Amino acid sequence: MSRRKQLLENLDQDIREHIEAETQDNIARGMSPEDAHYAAMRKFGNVIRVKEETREVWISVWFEQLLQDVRFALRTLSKNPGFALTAISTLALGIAANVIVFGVLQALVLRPIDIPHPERVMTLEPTNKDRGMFFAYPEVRDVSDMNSVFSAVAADTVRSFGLEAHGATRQVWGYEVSGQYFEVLGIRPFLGRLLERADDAHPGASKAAVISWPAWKSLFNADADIVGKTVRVNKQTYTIVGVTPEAFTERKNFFSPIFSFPWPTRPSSKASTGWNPEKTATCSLSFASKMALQSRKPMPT
Amino acid sequence: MSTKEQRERIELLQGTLDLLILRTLVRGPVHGHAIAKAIEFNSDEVLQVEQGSLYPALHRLIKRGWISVEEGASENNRRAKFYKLTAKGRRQLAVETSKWDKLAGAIARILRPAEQEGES
Repeated sequence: MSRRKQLLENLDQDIREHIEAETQDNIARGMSPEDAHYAAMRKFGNVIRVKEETREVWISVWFEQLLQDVRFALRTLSKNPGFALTAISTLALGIAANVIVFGVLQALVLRPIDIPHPERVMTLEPTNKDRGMFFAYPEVRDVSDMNSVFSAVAADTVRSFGLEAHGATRQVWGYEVSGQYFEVLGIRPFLGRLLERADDAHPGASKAAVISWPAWKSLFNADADIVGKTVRVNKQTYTIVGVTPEAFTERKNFFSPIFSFPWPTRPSSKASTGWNPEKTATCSLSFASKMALQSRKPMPT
Repeated sequence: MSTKEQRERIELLQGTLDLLILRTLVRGPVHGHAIAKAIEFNSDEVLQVEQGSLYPALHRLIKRGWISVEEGASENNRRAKFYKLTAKGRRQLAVETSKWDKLAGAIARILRPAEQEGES
C-alpha cells in the first residue's frame, strides 16, 4: 500500500521530468525553447487524463485487498461460529436498541413541531417545581388574558375519550384545548374552521369539535360535508366544525390524538379523571411569541 | 514533425504498449522518457505513442509484478526513476511475444490468403 502511495505521489514529478527531457531533446533539434515546450506537451497528451488513468490502475488493487480482508474475516468467523454468533448478536442487539431509542427520540423530541413558525412557539413551565408541572385552568386564563409578551397563549391536555359510532363505543385520543390553541399553532383549517377564542369564552361556551385529517379520512370516509355533522363523545353531542390540514401531524404523536375539543365543560361527571377546574389543569402551555428574547418570562403565580 | 509524417504514423493496438515496454526493458533498467524514445526509435518512428499513455501502462506492469522501480542517476547525473524487468516480467515477455506472433500470423493469413497458399 505505501509503495502505491509513493508511486502516485511521485507521478507529478515523473511527468514533469518527462516533459522537461522531451523539451531538451526538441531544443537540441533546433527548436526555440517555447516551441520545444509546446511540442513536448503535445506529444505527451492530456496530463490530467494520464494521471487519472494511472490512479485507476491502482484502484482495483485497493479493492482486491479489501475483498481479501473481507474473505479472511468471514473465514475466521466461520471457523469459530460460537464467537461469531455472540459478536453478531451483540452488535445486532446494540444497533437495534439504538435505532429504537433514536427513533422514539426523533419522533417525540427532536423533530420540530409541524407548524408554520415553530421558532416562535415557546413552552412555559412553572418556576416553582414543588407545585408540580401543571397549571390550573384559571392560571392559564390569567396568562392568556393579561400577558403582554405573547400574541396568544394556550394550554392543552391529552385525554382518552369514548367515541360512539355504529352502536358501539370505542376509545380514541383527543385534546382538550383552550381558546387560543390554534392561534398559537398558526395553522389553517383543511375544512370548516378551527376552535376559536369564542369557543372558550367561558366553560361550556361551545360544543364544537375539530377532527384531524387522518381521522376525517378513516373514521368519516373523507366526507366532504363533514362540517356541521355531530358526533357522540363521552355521552355528549358535539358538532364537527372543521378538519386540521393533512400536513399537520399532532404534537403528541405518541397518542396520535384525533379530536380537539374546547376546554371541557364536564358539568356533572366527576367520574373520568376527577376534573376540578380550581385544582387540576394541563400538561403544558404553548406560547406564540412575537418577542422571542423574552419568551422565558416567568409565570406569575 | 510535419502533418504528412503524422498521417503515416500508426496508432498502437490496445494492449501492445505493455509488450513493447517489456521488450524495451530487456536491455536493462531505463527511465520513463527513454522508454518512449526507444519505442519510437526502434519502430522507425512509425508507431504513434502518446507519451503520456506510458505512465498508466508502467503502473499496470508494476502492479502485476512484471517490472520494478528503482531510483538512480540519469545520464546527465540527475535523480531519475529506472524501470527494471523482473524475472516474472521476463517470463511474461516470452509468453506475450509468442502470443503476438500467433496473432500477427493469423491476421496475415486472412488478409493475404493467396500469398500464403503460394508459399505452402
